[in-house]
Amino acid sequence: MSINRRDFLKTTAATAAVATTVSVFTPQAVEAKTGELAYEGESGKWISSTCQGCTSWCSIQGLVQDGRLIKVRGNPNSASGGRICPRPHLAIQQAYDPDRVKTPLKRTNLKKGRGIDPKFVPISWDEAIDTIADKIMELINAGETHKFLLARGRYTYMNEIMYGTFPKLIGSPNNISHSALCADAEEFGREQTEGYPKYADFDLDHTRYILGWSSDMVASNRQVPWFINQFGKVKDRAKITTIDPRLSATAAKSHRWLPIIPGTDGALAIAIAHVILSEGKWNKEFVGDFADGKNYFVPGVEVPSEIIVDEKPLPVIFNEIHTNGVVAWWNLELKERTPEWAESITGISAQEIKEVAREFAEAGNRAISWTSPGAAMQIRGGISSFACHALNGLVGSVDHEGGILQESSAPTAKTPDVKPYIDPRFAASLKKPKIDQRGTKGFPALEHMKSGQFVCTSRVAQAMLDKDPYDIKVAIGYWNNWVFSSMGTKQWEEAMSKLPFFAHITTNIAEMSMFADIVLPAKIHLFERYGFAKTKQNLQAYLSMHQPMIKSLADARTDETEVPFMLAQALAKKGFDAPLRYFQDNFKDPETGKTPETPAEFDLFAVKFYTKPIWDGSSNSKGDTINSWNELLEKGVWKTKRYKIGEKIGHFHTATHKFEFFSETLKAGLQNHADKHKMSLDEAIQAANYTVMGEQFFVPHYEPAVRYGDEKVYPFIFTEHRSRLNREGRSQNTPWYYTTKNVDPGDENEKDVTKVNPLDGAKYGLKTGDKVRLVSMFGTIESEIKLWEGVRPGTVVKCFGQGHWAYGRVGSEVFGSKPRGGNNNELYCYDWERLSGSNPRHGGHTRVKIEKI
Amino acid sequence: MQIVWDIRVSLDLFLGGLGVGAFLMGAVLYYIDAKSYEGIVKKALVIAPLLVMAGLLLLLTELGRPLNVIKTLYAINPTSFMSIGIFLQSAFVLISLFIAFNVLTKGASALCAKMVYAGAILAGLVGLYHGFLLSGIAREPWNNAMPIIFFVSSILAGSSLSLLLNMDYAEDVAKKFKLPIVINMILTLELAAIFAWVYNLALTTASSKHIYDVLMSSFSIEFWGLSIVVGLIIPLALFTLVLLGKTTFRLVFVPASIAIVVGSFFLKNLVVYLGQMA
Amino acid sequence: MTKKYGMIIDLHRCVGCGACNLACKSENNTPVGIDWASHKIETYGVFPKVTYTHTPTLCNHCEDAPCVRVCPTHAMHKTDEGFVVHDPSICIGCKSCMLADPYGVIHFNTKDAFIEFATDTSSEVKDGTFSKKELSDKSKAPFPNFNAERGAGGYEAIRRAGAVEKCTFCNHRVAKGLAPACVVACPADARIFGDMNDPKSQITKVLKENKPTILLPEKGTNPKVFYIGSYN
Repeated sequence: MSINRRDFLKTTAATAAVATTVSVFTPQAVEAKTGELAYEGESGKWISSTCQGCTSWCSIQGLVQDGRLIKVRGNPNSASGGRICPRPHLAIQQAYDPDRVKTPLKRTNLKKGRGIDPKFVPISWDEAIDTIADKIMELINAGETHKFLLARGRYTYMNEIMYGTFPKLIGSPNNISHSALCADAEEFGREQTEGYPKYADFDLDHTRYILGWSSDMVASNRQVPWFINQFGKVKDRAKITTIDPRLSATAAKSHRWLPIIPGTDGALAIAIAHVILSEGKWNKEFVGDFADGKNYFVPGVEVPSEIIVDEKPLPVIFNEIHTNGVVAWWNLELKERTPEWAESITGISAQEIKEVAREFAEAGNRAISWTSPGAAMQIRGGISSFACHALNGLVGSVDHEGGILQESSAPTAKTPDVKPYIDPRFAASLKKPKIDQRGTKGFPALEHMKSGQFVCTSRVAQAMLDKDPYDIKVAIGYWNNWVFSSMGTKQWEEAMSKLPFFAHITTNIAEMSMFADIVLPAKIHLFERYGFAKTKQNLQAYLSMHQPMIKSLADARTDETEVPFMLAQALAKKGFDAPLRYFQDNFKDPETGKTPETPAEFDLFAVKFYTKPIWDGSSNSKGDTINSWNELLEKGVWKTKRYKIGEKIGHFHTATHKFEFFSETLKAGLQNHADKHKMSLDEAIQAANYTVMGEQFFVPHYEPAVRYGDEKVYPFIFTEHRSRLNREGRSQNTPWYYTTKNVDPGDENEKDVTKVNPLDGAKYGLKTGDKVRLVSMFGTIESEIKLWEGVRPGTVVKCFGQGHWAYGRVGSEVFGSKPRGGNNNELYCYDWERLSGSNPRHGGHTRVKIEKI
Repeated sequence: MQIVWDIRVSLDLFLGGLGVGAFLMGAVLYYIDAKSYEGIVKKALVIAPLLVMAGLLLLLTELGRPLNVIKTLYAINPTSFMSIGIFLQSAFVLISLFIAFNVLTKGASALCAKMVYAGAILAGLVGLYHGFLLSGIAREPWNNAMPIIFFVSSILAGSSLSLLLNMDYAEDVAKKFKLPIVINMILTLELAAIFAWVYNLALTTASSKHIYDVLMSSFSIEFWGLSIVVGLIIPLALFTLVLLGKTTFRLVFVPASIAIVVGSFFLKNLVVYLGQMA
Repeated sequence: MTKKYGMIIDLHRCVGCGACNLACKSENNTPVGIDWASHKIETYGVFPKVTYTHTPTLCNHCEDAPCVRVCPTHAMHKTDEGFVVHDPSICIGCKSCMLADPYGVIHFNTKDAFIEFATDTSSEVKDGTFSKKELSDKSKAPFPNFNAERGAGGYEAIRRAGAVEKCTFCNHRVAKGLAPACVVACPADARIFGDMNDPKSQITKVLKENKPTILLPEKGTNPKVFYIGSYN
């Protein structure tokens, strides 16, 4: 049906009339409720789902009228009390983005490369799936199924199908996730101290001090709406210090802003530790104390093993309680690390370092040292994260009221065993190392004291180019856009150009899709598909559902379930039925026992299968009460009871089960790695691009920041920040992103500005509005200057997210060739935080010069 | 601040001003001696409604929903100068059109004196309304000086235009009414009003000072050059020379009158834009 | 007693996230370029002692509204409950209200809002991606996420060319007993909306307990949007 303007104005009036008559609301007293979350009274239906615009993974609801999504709000049943940040609002424009792929597309221009028009033409789903299945069959027949790569970006927990089982079922070890682009180096610090390589939770109700390491808690990552909601209250009773090279949204509202030189957070953290110990302000109940009650942490001096009293030698004993190695930390590292030493490295005055250390320590076990990716996703950020997180051990706020917490997780079904379905022909292929080179000499990627446990996402491009350990012939990517979002954009562009066959499941024709042979339209997670996510907010772990509240206007499928099922069906037709058998045998409707025959049935049965422990009522004792599948969909979220604080102490998953300042966990992990490659520990440290050798490496210590570029040629340290409107780089084709952009402090609507201190502006003749090129050793992007006091002289800062040369007609200046704004990744070095395998995405490592255009 | 009123509004105020100024000139001469000044009265009264209507037509194109103008006849807002102004202007156009028709068909002496009187009163009100329209919106530079500055500018420009169209009479009229003195008095009055306005801006509040700065920096050529020097000082000087006997009215009349008309436009245009810079 | 609705914005709680801006857009069908709910930002001081402030703004629904005073047709008018609202059916589009409004919260539609969803048939990849018109046709609405409820009470649910539009305090929601969209959407719970004539309402109490400020007090407009607390 086609309607013209006049028709739709009529529709406007008619629909409005309908809306008024069908309103479920009975007009009571015309009294607007004050400050309450008034939910009732709107026509249409609020339907629950989950926002994955950042890793907060909030439970949300969308208002659906006549099959159309109108607006969004927080789910009142959620742990954050039904609040949402700006991101879900932008998602409406993502769902209704005219540039969404509406049907499968086939590349007709065989030449691949940036700026080359793929000449996509629409094809049927059957043809698209059949083409991919043929490519998989070719690998199977050639006995080289390991040359298949599944590249996963953001995911729901239904990724168990597409990421967890499908590659194995077709004989490939290569299920590669995006995690290394996210926060692995941050989690690394938590892993080495308390054996918890995950995001932390925080007891905001009781905290008295927040020392935020680049944590922009009211703007980005994680629990954003909850922190927004609590920030004012926390500020009333706690002191908040934010360490960030830029005056972030949180820094602007903090008591203190410490504008640190990028990449030097570790130095600041150990100077703070130095003050806490030398002034005797550590938590004696948690860490312990010297047996004689004296403080032997004297600046510049090692703690003696014995002292002479009345001419008799007395041993100096530190009775350590819940921690490991505080004296070793002092002796190996801290004794020289005075605030004065840190001043010139960090740009923060010794006086301020002392003040912060005292304030922090005086808040005791209610003081949180809150590490975020900015301080950790640096080339040597794994150790920075280790140092920042170790401060929690000094004040004893780990797993303490008002402190930093771990969390349990919502119960769900285990993925059925795939082993019985694995074709014996695949045995050799499945034993091959993964393509990302994790665990190779230069990539320890440690977890749980073992080498090669974390993914090295951004290394994949180089590995593909080098065909090391082998070449990749067929790849499927979904919900990802690494050509844009990972460092090494040039390497990615080249690797993708050379990849023989690539299918991309995506909502928009992203940069990565421009290298695809087949593009498959994906459903938008918030509004169009089933799935679920598990995380925690406000001391509650929870499971939040995704469900199709609207029918996609595109002929889209769910990337994680429907597409693999269709592939399985196509493969079965070609004589390889193991995946289909696995899916059909194991994912029958838990209520009726029906075998899934269509992709849609499989999608529904699989999500019911995984969430059964929640909706069958068997988890009611552990949290919310939910007794049916429909009730789960209706409520949208199931929460655990509130986390019980304090039970982890003494039972940390570290080598010593204690909170480790001297990390036996790190040492064991690195030893495992060194043994694998027959190296010494020092060689392993060197191979991982760290500088400090010996035992000192295993305590939080200073590592100089890596900076690419000669200061004389490239005078500025370039660093970046996130936007409170970034939906992990997926909101840049929504017009609202640009009309609201100045909610990011320092930024301008409709622009992608580089923020420069006015002193530097005067020094280099730059003024606000100047069109410029930012040039590094590795690349060039265009931007516009914004002179702004919220950035340190010598450092320039730009938001991540813009600079798309594809994705859509709003996000790019000329779709397919000319970017709108600049992608910071194009400036960056191609390097890694190797202990965790991370992509050091937060800048600081690359210097730039600025040229006027 | 974006510009929401463009040059069409300035042109309406300018052309409307010319119209009411011309009408007043015609009316005055009509009362003094309709016969002797038949030609000038006729032309003045005929161009008056045409100019005002031309301005209003331009204004209509500036309106977002010009067809809704008809609704102003019943949806009246007594606190809105525009609402009142629409009635004043409509009444003036009707009366002045009627007069123009009569003066064309029957001659000046056949006009109904009461009708001309009513027309003159409306012309005066419309002339004042132009300024009140702005001062009623109360943006920073649009203060209470507006009605007098606009009205005086209209009288100067309208009468100058009428005389320009009647060159043959001009010298005669000038002599009889000592025009150089009269015009110089009015020019001086306008200068005084403008200086009072600008002085006030420079002194009063932070926002008025800001506007003063904008006026002096961004609009200095339009203000000093075109509005003050061309529109007021040059004619003042020329007529002073006439009074001093250094030159003749015949020689300076055309350039001085053109300067006054042009200056009136630039002054009004400047004020309209300046108000939107606040 | 007649109602007198007002709003408080607590700047101590506000974190400047812009959710109010966006929720307003969903609720009120405002096109790109027109934001009924907006904000002003300011950075002052010299590094490293820098202060950044964010002040959410919207129509102040002034007791003594200059925009109402100058409107030639009463298109811009005050309701009995004190909402300053606009009736586009009698607006002549003279834009006097925009000039009289010291807060810059009135916007003019130079074209029919969302007209591109009726006219724009271009797409990024022919037959592979959508055009705006196709989205509108497929969703059988002026634009896909069009909120029909905004048209309750005869208001133009989306505004055609030639007239102004502005925040209505979500009068269509208030009429149903709902708080304005920006109030509900605020994740910081920084906004309080209610009847200032009701001595028991939260807004009355909070106004009494605090020293509220208003924007441009020197203009004498008597706004009904109040600010409490400090952003920093």
